[in-house]
Amino acid sequence: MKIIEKFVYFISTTLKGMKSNLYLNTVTIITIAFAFCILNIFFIISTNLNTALGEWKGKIRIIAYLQDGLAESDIISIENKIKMSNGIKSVKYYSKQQALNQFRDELKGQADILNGVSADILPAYFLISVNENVLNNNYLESIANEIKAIKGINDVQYGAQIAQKVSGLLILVKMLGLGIGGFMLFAIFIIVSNTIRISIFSRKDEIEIMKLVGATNAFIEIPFILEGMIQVLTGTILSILLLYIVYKLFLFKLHSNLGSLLINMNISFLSTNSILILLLTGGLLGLAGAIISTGKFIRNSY
Amino acid sequence: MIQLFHVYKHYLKGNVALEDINIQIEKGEFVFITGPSGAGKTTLLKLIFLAEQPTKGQLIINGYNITRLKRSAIPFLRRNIGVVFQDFKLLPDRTVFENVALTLAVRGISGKEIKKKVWETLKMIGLQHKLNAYPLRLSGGEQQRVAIARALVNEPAILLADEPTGNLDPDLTNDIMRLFEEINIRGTTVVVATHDKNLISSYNKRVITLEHGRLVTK
Repeated sequence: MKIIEKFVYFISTTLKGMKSNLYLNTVTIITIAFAFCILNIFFIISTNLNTALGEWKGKIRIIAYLQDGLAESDIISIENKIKMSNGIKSVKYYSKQQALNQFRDELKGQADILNGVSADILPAYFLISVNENVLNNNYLESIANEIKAIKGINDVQYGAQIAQKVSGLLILVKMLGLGIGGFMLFAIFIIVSNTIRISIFSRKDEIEIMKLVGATNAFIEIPFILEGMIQVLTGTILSILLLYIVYKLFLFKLHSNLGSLLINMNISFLSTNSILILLLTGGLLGLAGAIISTGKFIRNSY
Repeated sequence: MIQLFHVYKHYLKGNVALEDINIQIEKGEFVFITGPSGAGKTTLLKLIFLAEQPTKGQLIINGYNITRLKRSAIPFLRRNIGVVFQDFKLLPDRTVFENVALTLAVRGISGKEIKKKVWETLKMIGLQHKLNAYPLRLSGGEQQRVAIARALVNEPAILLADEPTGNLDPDLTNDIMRLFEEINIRGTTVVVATHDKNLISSYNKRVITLEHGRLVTK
């Protein structure tokens, strides 16, 4: 038998077998789809939270306000001392005038309230950005204190407390996702294994005859293994489609209710790579679950 | 072709199915295995078609020592042994063609070759016109002939039949036995297990008798 003939034989035997247990297979696929939906929801939430946090972290700055009346050489010296601290990515100096201009830009349509305001009332400052590892390892406070201790620095501000709380939340979501995800994957494995076991039992007469006429274990097992893989892959694809529909509807509703507030909000769905990984995981789970059952109930009998 | 040397078969809890069986069946022979119910006829056939392993002793089939055979080799040996049962054991959701073709499909034979061999075999047993029928639409005799076709399509060296006419009337029994004789004439070793004394006396063949798992005549 040529390879294509064999392939067609195994696929048609698999589909025939699935059709003979249609109700059981349908229930299994739907159950797997829901399990993957739960898994994927956590995946989407943690991916988006991770992206948002990454962007946010990139925007976290230390603002070091300078005392009034410093000479240019003092300012340069302070800048150099700051740059010498560990974890500093960049340092940018804003003079009083530049500070006022910056403030005007931030106020956008309401900059008129600054008419008549002199730049003297605002302090000059250094805008300091830090490396990623500083935020991840909570060094921000010690760096801020180090900078505050430099002569010529009046005050230091930073928004790290919020970043750390969000980091903590992300870790919690990831841990929860891993726990629930792991449990879901295990549950899917058990469901597939059990469904294939039932399928084997319901076709034990057929299996007995196939053994009698000289079928190898592999010849008998392959359709069942394919059945397991098709169940999980179909469930996975169904879950992705279902979630995509919900995702689109959710975004549509969100935008129509909250409109312009969400212009910059970008909730992303699963990436192509994530979908491929999910399909691969699904295929492997189906394979493993089916092999456990075929090994136990086909290979171990004469 | 089939040799048993001091073969014993025990099941759990001391249940002795066969005790000290010594038999030699030559290539091309036609042999009846008889005895009352529980004598060990089916167990003996099961040993020959490798559904069971002897507890003790040597079993040689077609030159292969079964007691030393790897489990993975069993399917390949079975392809040279055709088996027919009293309850036919046909797959009800497959046509006559598909039931018979199964024996060839498991060997990886091409679709074209399968069609040719199945057609020839069904023609030999006179059921070529029932190619697309399902087993439940056939009479008992026709179903048994399909089971025989499935056993023979691979041209095995050995044909085993366990009470093949148990569910059939006398006319059909004669039809089936004539078929077995024809197959035997073509060179296949035929072993028929039956407790039907009338059947045995109607055909002048070698008879092996078992009683309580022991050989009485060989």
